[in-house]
Amino acid sequence: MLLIKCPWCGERAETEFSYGGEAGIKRPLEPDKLTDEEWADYLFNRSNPKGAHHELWNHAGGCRRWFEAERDTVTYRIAVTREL
Amino acid sequence: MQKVSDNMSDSALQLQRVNDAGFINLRGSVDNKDFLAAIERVAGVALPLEANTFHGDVTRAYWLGPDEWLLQCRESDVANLQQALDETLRGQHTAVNDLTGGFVMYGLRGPGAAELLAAGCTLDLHPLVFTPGCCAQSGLAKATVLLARPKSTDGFDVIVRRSFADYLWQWLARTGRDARIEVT
Ligand SMILES: [Zn+2]
Repeated sequence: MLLIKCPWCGERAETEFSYGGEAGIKRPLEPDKLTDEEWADYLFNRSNPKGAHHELWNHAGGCRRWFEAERDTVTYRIAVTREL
Repeated sequence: MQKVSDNMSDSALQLQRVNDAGFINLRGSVDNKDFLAAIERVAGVALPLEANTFHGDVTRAYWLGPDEWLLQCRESDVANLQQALDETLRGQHTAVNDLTGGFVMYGLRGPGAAELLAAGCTLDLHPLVFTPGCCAQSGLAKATVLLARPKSTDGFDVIVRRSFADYLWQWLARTGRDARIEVT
């Protein structure tokens, strides 16, 4: 069982958490002015790295807060978690 | 109380439903000192600011999140408490919601309680880790629960969504039986 450290609750079982995708994706301020390619890029394209990945997680079975994690997609090691 | 086993000896665990508990969900900012003071004045219990702890005994305030708490009081007091909170907090950026109908509370008493919960929960419930005054939202069997270790008695309180309450009761009773923990 993987333990994930919620910034509020501390280490909890992986089963209490849900993954929220890549972190730091900002919604464009003026979507009307984007081309279809730029809008599609915002909606669908993600960095998908092999290695360190900046992610959003939710402590769904606990305090239900979103937080950020730096996870290695190869080793699954989570280097750090922090409040949003 | 429901008798589960026909072969009762000295019970290691008593399982009972707490019938007169009411619940109010509270949202607000810990930076708002007026909010914190108003709750303490009106509810008679201070909101815990430390994660996964609760304050109080009959009337309790459980930490649910950095801006969220669950107030527990006697069910007959819920309406008055909510009204008092609404009046006191009027105009402030807060939320007060009566969730009494949504939750059921079970009390597990006796030395077998931690062992029984451990069969379906990933939390470390050792008395030196999960001390009296600790609470935690977590999974128990397949239900999402709020677990608390009361200060005044030996055991645990389990607050569960009403739709899972019957399932959880049966799980507790059956798991206790399988583990040869007398459940009464
Ligand atoms: Zn948490």
